Amino acid sequence: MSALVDAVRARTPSPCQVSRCRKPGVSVRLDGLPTQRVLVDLDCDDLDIPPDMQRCDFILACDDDLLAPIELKKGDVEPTQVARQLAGGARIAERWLPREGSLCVRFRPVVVYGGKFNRHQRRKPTAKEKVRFRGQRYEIKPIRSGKSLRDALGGA
Amino acid sequence: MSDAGDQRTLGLKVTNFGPIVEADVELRPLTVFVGPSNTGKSYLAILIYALHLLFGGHLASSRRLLFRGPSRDRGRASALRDVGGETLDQMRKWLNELPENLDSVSPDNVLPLPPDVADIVREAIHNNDDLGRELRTKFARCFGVGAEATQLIRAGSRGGSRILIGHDWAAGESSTRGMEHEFTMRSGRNQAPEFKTSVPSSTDLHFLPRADVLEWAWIVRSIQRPQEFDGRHTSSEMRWASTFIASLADAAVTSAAGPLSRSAYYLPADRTGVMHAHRAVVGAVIERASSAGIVDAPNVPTLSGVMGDFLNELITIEDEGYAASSGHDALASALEQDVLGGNVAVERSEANYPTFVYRPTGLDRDFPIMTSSSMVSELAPVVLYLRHYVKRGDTLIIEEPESHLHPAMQAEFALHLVRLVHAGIRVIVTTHSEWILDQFANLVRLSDLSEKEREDLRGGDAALSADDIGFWLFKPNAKRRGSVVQELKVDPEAGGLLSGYDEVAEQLYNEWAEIGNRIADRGAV
Repeated sequence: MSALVDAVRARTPSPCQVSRCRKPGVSVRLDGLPTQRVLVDLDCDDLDIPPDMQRCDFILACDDDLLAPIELKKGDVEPTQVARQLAGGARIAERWLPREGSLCVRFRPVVVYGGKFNRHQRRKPTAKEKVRFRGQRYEIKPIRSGKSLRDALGGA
Repeated sequence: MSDAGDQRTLGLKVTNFGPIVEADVELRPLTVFVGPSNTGKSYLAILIYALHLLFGGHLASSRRLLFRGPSRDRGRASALRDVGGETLDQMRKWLNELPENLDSVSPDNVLPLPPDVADIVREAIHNNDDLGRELRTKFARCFGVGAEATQLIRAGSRGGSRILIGHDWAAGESSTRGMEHEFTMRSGRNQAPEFKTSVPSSTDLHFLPRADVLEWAWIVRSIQRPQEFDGRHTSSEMRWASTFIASLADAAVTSAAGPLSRSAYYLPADRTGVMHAHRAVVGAVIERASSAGIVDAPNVPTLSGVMGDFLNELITIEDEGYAASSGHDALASALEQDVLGGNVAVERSEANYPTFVYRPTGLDRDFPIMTSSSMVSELAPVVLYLRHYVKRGDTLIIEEPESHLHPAMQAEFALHLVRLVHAGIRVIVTTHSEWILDQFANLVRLSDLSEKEREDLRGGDAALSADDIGFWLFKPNAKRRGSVVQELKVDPEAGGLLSGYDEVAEQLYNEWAEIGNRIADRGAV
């Protein structure tokens, strides 16, 4: 198992580690991803995250060094709001990892959407709204509800 | 919105035709075919065009009977030779009850057939085996394939192609569905196509009082005059009655075909090229056609029926300058003003060959279409057809209306297409354009607002009920080695239509984001 998955497992209560990435009306498939992985539900009470703290819905860590904050949107995507939520999730995930530099991570923020997210929104506002992680700004990858997360991550 | 014939929704079930494994579509006032290339969108559009030629031109067959006499019509002879004196009496009794002046009845008003006459006509319809051969001929011509048309059967399919035409299948009960036609075409030598028509006894029959039916009605009516009819039915009178029944059967079939009984016009995807090169194409066809019989047949150039019809309609268009000549001049002018930015007209040479010209708004000078932008060539046929050909109730089939158009113009053109639908023109489009689909979806969503609420919104005048538009997605199915057609619904939650085009944009964007994220990875500590 990778150090990344180990670290996330060790720092998160097991009731918060879930197998499915879904909320009412919106979900993403995890098939095709490495089987050694951990998916953390950030709405889980055992994490003791202040309720007013902005955050995304899930954090996924895989043994291929992928670390993906995931926001699920049943309706339309508002890129600025989504970027804030993913950045909040990224900050939470950073706390679970060893100090910077000791662990190789491929950070890929993802929004799963069920509503309208047209070409124009995707190209301009989403590209502009990036998510900061370890000093770098990352672009958000969109994926329609019901599709495979692996397809959205592509070669990532 | 159709103003003629059966008002119910006409459905089409197609199996193993071209690349299509299975399609079950409804022909609504606006019908949209979407999906990847080579999945059969044009196949289905041309099939529908061929059905228009069949049902729209079918009355011509009874008109031929007027001159040839029914005994020469082998297809109907067996069904109609049993017409006897009792039948003739029934027909005459009914005709006596009709208005004296049948010519005064509007050709757009369907008339019911009384039950006893309907029974006679129903039997004639059941026994009509002409339509199968006629439809195969239409297919061969429209698709530009051999006379047997067996190339149209999906490769590797069992059982051949099957086409079912009927009404309101969604209603469930077969007794409420009315007249249905089933056409089957199998590969193999000497495999005659089959065409079966079923008319449940519970189905009321109607007919459109068009000229040929009225002519025969007048003849059959006239033989009851005392000085011409002495109580005996002569063989010629029996033949007249047979022909009248045949024409009524045709008229009832036509009436039940609803929109398919009206004219259709097909604007093929390569219309822009034809607008530029029609003179050369016509010249080549005439030159080489005159060699037919001298050179091998395969060397004589041919055009598919849809392309040939388009070319023929184009070069026979009347020269009426910019003047209005049809009820749809306002629609044509609006298209010119909003999208083309100028006017389109026809000029004729001394040899009476047409030249199409474009005059930009504000200029006092005409430019040949071939020197204008490709957008003008693309839309000029639509303007000309609206002015010169298309009437209320007719169907306009447009392949890829997005061709050569900027996305803003695609959306604008889509809005105009819906305005045609509101004017009573039925429209079928095949498209790859997300912009056109988005525009259609917006117009459907607008119908959720009241007229007052939408009056200041773009397209507020063109809101379209979801029942008046059908989106049909052609999806490749590798397992079934062909494409399957399914309906797409405008989904408010999904923000419109999930046509699959969005997935392409998403994949491209995700590739873009991945490149950016790998650049970010370089600096990650």
